[in-house]
Amino acid sequence: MFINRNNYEDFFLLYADGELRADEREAVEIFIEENEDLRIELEMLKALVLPIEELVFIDKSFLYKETVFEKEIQEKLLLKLDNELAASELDSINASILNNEIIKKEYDILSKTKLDNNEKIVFEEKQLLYRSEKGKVISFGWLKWAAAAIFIGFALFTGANFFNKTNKPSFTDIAKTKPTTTNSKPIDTNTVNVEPSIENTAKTNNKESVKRDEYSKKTGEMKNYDNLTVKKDKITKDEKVNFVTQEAYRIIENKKETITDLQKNNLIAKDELKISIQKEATELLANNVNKEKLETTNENMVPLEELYTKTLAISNIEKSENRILYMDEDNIKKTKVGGFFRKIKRLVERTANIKPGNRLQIAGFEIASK
Amino acid sequence: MTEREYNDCVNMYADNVYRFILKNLKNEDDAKDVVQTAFEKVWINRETVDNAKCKSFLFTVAYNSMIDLIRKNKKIVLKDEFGERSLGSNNQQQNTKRILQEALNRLNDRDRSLVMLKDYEGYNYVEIGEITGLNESQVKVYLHRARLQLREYLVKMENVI
Repeated sequence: MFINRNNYEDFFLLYADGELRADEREAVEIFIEENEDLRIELEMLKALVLPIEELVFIDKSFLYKETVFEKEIQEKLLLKLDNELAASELDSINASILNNEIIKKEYDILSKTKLDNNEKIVFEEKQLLYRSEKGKVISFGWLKWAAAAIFIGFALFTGANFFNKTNKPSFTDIAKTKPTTTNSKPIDTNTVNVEPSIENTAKTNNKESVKRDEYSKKTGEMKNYDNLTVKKDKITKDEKVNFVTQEAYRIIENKKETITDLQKNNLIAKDELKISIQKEATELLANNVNKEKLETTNENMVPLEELYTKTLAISNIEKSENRILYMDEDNIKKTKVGGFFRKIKRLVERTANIKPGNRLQIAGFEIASK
Repeated sequence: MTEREYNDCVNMYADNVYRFILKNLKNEDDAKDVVQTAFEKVWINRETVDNAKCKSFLFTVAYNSMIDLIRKNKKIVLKDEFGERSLGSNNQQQNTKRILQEALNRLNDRDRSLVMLKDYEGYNYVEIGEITGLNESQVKVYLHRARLQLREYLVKMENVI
């Protein structure tokens, strides 16, 4: 196929695209020389071809694919960084870091990702976090009401007992109060006439007198002074005081009867006798009061013991008779209520499993367990 | 755990837990709340918590509380003072530290916690797994992935600088 003025356009396009063979390109160039008017048209087609530019792909790292070897090295570097690498592999990776610059650079970069452990951030409100253990609190439900009732009852009982015992007779009371017992005769019987002089102790002493009388009637025996000394160790403080005052009153009564006898016989002046009797009684009671004071200030029982012995001796000398002193030993022993509370305490300690040193709280009341 | 051991635990680990939570939440008040909640749970469970496991138990509770809080709030606001405090001077070391902190902030909550438990507290993969509820392999994979993300961010930022 030869180029002519009818088909030259196809040859010119192929010439511009560089798609013609060498002989065809030579034929086109000869044709242009023979037809100079068509040269401009060929140049225009050649200008349409875009020029070749130099383009550089700057970061090709995204396109690179890691080999298996590189991935393994990187994992080992990460494990080494986390201190999780096995000891057997540690030497080899350390050698790689030392000998291979690329691996060393990679490890340096990874090391920079490790956070600084020395960075300190202080929590300044630690006092909010501190705690302290409180004693065990045991919830009883209905039992707490029972415990409260028992506690109130016990408080009333002990309070009443306390006030009854502390209401001791005064000197004037003893002087003014008339004995309530019928046994006000001089002591010429085998029993001791213990005559209460204050109202608070009248009932109990009356009972004691009745019991003593019954006992004396039944046995008909007189107890000697030794028996008294054996029992006196068990006598309580109040009983001793009461005994002394009763003895004083009894002496006064004896003297009154003596006065009556003397008056009848006109052996002595009335006024003179009264003065002497009152003086004697006053000294005896004053001695009793002083002993009580001594005993309350110095909790030593010896002075009271002496007073008690002295009083017994006076009555013994005066009458030279043996007497029986009745004493309610149940009052001296521990009360049943106290034992009941001790049992409750032991029961609670066992069930609550309270360890030594701990404290127990029941219904808001704290109890030292040990 | 006795009362004394508990209070020793407060002295030894309160700062660590606070740092761990604060770095994650970036809110001081929330971090304090989480720390208090964590220690409160330790106190309540002191009969069952062994003293040797105190730290692990504490971080577990704190981590779970933190995740709950994040899920609840969703939106975490970086407080200005915290950001300023982490900036530091312009020297290279501080600069790297700042960039690393930025990179850390770009991690998700889980990966950030893993990195901090590893780097700050020195836990191994198994212990981190116990705290976060993941198995050892998951911890390893997530942690390595997080580390490579930090690395890429550091390289990029250093190239830019």
